Amino acid sequence: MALSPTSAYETAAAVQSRSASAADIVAAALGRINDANPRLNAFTEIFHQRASEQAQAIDTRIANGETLPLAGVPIALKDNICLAWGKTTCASRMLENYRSPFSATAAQRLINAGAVVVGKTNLDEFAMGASGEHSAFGPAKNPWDETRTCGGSSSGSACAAAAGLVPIALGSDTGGSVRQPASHTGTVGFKPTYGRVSRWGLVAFASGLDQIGPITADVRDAALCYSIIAGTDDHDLTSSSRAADDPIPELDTPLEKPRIGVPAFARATRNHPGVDESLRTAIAALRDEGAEIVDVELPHADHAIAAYYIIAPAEASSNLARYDGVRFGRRAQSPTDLEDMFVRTRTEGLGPEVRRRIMLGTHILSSGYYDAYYLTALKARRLIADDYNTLLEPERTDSPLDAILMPSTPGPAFKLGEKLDDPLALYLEDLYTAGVSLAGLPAISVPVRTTEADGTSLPIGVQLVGARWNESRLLRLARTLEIAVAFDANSSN
Amino acid sequence: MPGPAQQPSLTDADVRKIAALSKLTVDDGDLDIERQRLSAVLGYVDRLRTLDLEGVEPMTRASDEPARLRDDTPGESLPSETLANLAPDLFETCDSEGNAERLIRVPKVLGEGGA
Repeated sequence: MALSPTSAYETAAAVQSRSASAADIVAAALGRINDANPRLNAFTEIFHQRASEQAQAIDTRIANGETLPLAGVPIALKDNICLAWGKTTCASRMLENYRSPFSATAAQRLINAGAVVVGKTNLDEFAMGASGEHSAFGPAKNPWDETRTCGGSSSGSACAAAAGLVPIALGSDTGGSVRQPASHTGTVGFKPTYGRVSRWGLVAFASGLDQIGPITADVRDAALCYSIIAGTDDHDLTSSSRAADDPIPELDTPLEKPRIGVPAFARATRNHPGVDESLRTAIAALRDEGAEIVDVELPHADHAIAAYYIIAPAEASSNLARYDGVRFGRRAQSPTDLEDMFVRTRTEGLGPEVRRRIMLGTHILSSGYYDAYYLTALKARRLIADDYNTLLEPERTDSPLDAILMPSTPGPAFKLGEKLDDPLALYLEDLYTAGVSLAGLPAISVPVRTTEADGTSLPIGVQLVGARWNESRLLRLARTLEIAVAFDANSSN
Repeated sequence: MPGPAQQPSLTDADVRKIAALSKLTVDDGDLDIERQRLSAVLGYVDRLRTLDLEGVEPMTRASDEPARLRDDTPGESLPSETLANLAPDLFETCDSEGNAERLIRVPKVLGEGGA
């Protein structure tokens, strides 16, 4: 199982104080990746030479007296996040040779802070999936049990963080794609408020839901990464102009008597027994830390997947219309005419799940169906979001919750192939995450305990959901939970 | 939910039509399974019909902030040469002043026949 990773926090401190060199840290990370990747398939590309050169440049900058908050920290980027070198494939045949001419804002901010990108990570094609199996390059394998998926769609980033290959891996979360794989791999997965992190350079799936977030071994590294990537960006006008407060100074100061709601639907759902145990463990741990746990209702929560699987495919069908074989990416050989070029390029270049979602979205938005599906889903979205915001926002209630606590997923990591032939079963993986995405709220999955499945020990996380723009308090609460449950990432050994 | 969504089960012809609108094709051998899978999802999302949505304002954006607009002034952008180089099929030609330029080749758009 996983090596204990050296945290980003400790790595940066060591490189900054010159008790370790970025060159050695990055060389060690590349060595771990070279050893593990043939088994795990976490990476789609590894930047051996460039990462080594960049690490040496960091050492020079530190020697010249610069202060860098991520000095020499090896990081990985989900391969739907653009970088001005290497390929940005989105794990799709459509973009298997695509080279972005620019870097995503979130990636550039991490690089500016001294991080070194060692590689790009595997994913479900265009981030559409919950198992990593919809990758054109094969699935990433779960380091806890290589016969199982890592979840998805940020499968490779979760895998890389869980296996201790890098301390920080960026993912993207549209309906749960950071939190669900984090839960399945015993890592921390943090989705900030929609609009908190620039989407510039994140290849669009559903632009109204997509948000970049870190997958890390612990909450402190997630907070550190967040503190650097958060904030407004003139390249993305959906990024918020609010100043993002720095969560680091008060991260280890527990909230005073936090009020935490546990929704009835989470208790009523037929979860895997290990998920129910994890929820109970988290409740008990937070109570011991002085939290008040209250029962709450999210009356429309069980409609979230239905609304999500209308809204997200509708946006996807529009966004992915750009893959037409004209300006970039793949083009079908010897087309007979323009229509033939469009159809064959897209049918050959896109995988079956992406094609299915484009077709769903096209149908939903087509004449005669728009009101029945799309408009209905947008109205349902309002009810779902209101449920959360009524509980969390001080403007809406006299006794706002500090967070809502619920499972991250209905079960632990499942076997490779187990749900591949049943798209709807895979969509139900998003039961606890999709509604939070529709509401645009910040949420974090924290590993709590392990459960036994077929003789294998598997990790399970719980999810804390906070009020919009309130990431710092949410991270403090997550940090309290993390310390209280003392999850052992190596416990499967 | 009014209208056609009351019958989420699709026919083979529906699937072919949706594929055509999507600029995709579905192989004959995959048609039945794709029809079943798409119908299953449409059947599932049909549960939204049970909600009382009378008077509910559609939520079109996750953010509670007003949309920001950029000033209408030219800014920096990537060079056209850089962007053209991303295209899968390029050819070189000269502009009206005799300068070399690279253009994207596409199949014939008007009339019959290919590239």
